[in-house]
Amino acid sequence: MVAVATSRALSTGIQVGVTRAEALGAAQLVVARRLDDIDRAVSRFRADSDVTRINNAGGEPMRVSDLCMRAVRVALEVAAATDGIVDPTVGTSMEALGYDRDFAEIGTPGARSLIPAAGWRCVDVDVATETVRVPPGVHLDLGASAKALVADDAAAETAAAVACGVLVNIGGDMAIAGPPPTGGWEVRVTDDHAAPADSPGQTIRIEHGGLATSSTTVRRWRRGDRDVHHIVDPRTGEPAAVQWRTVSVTAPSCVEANAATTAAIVLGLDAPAWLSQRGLPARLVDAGGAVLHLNGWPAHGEES
Amino acid sequence: MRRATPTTQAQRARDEGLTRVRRVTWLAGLGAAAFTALASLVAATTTPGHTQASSSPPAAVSAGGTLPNPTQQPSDAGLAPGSQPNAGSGPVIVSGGS
Repeated sequence: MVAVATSRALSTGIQVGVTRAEALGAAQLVVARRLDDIDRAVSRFRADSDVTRINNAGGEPMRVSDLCMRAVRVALEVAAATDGIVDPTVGTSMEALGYDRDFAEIGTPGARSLIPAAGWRCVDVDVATETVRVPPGVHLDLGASAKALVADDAAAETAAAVACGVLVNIGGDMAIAGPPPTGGWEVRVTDDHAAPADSPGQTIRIEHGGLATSSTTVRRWRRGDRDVHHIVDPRTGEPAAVQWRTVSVTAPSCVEANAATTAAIVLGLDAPAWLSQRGLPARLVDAGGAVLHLNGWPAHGEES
Repeated sequence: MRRATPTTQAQRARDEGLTRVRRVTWLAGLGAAAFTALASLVAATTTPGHTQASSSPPAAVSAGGTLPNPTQQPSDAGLAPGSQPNAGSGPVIVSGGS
């Protein structure tokens, strides 16, 4: 019997699902440990995290944990695979937009000059010395890909530990491991991961791999005299233009799904062709609420 | 004055024979080249076409294989439509922006 627990970490909602109800407590413990590990490795808002030490190293190589090294390498792979549309050096751009502290503490920052991302190719990773280096003034933000990475890792580890099917959902981006429930995991896809079950959207079933959703409708704040959101176009340093307000994608892993949803928001009108070239099932909701299903994403069951 | 001996007569006959053979060989080669050129011209004009550089897809951009390569077939995540959500039946798993 399926059981699901809901909690909060990394400034977002967490869900852990298992196909054997009595395994839920043990599964939650495994996932909580992984969440704590990734926070210590990549948080921009913790003085003791590896990423904060890299960002503040003044251009010097910084020795980091294995998990941080892995998160940086995954972020660089995502950047390469998306031709830099999803770029880990947007940290500086985010800070210029005012997102330089935990989201709950942002307030209303004044307008500052926008800063395009320096570009992922300026990040030096030395596996032999376990160091990462960025040029002075360049700051990493591994947020999205690191959460997806920990979803993939935590789902696989938990499924092995509790010997049943597991779903790990971190702020709407989820990974599935082990045998799914009969018919698959039932998931509501909508604009906001914290929305109630009857919010406009679609209910689908998914059996394996990853599912991610990116949206410009959440994590918004006021900057000077305009509203901004958290999905930044690295080429300009500006929040991406809202052609699609919400994009959901399924892929073999949560990391791949998350990379694709973020890229799709940034690509705007070019997103459908980009997703179709990669054969990724996707659901795109435009700024007016019209829905586009691509590459085998089921069209049935849309509710407004 | 030296007289032609039977040996020198035989040598002369042999040399003349070899000259005839060389001439025939040269003419045969010339004929073959002309035939090949003619055959190529006929082939080119009766069955026109073009050169293909490669029939394989372009190299993938991905360095780390993080995303499926362009032109890949749809990935199968076991997707299917679900049922209507029931707000009163416990936690619903939600994928949305965060």
